[in-house]
Amino acid sequence: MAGIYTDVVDIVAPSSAAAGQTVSVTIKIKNIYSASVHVSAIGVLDSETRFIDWLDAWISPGATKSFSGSFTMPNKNVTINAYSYYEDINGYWRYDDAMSKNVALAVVYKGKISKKELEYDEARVSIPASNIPQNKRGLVHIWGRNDMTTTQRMGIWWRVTDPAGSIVEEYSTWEALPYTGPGSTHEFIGGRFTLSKAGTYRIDVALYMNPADPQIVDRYTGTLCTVSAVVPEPEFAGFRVSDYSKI
Amino acid sequence: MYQYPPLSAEHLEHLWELGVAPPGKLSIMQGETVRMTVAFSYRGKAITCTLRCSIGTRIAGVFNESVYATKATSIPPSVDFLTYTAFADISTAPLSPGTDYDIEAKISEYAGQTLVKIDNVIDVIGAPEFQNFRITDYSKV
Repeated sequence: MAGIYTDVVDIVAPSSAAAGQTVSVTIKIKNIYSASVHVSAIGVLDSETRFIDWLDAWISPGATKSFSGSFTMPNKNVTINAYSYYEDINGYWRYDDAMSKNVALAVVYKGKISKKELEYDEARVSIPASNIPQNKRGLVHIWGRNDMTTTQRMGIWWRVTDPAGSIVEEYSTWEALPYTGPGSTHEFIGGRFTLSKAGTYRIDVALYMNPADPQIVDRYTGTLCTVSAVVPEPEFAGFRVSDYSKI
Repeated sequence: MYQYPPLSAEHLEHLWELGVAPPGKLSIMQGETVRMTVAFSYRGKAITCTLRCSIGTRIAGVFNESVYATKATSIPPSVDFLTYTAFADISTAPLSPGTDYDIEAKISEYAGQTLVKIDNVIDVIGAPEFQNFRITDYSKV
């Protein structure tokens, strides 16, 4: 429902936000009158906190003007109320139109990549590992920890690249039932691959929660391991006396 | 120890001494020093080994080593074969004058892969020796 001179046509804001997050809001007001109107915008949070406070502007006929502000998301759902006022011929500000929008409190998922290991042959070493002999078969183990107060289903994704940057393993999965309780960890095990090149292998790991709308809760990007070239056993070839002389 | 190529300055100096390439014969005065140079290719871990160069006589296939010299040689690690040269200087003072001495060279720790033998390549001149002694003319003075 528009006012006499203005129409609050939109409130641009996210539908949800985490507690403590800065929420940016833009109120869009259109002049629906046949002449320019001096307009003020007000943005109020739950009818308590004014975060857009009498921002004014002249708006040409038919034009729309944006007024922006922000607030810190409290630990609850909130409603944004936007109001438009116009200045009358006597210089008084008159209420004209309003709009509201709800912003839900988003769940902040918390988890941690708590341990990372590389298995090769019968050995296991922490990631990043060093001096792994060339041509060993590698197997990545990643542990995710649920730092929420409720049981969570965690997911994982990782990609391993060789020293040339080629992908040697990409793995992703969501854990199966039973899921991971508060404070507990879940171990993800990928597939085997060959550490065939000398140099540095890298891994990019992302730990997820909330399969319905996956959110990355922790990430590791860095060295998986360094692989040392296999040096062959000492071997001579073409050994000969090339010359002899007096000195 | 030299990697080849390029030739090091020392190796160039060595070439300047007009070494004899096998199976050429080298004649020396008793007591002179013989520099024996070997060439080889190597791959493997870094090693420090011993080059052993010898002069002697081979009788019925058995080498009787008369004089020798050793030289510690360090070879860097390599996955691929790389070419090197090395030498050892042998004092011939203990050698009796004689002809057709034989030589051997090897990396002692890897003798099975490296031992090489060349026969009848060194003559040692020791006792006073004349040749073509004759009266060339006679005249008043």
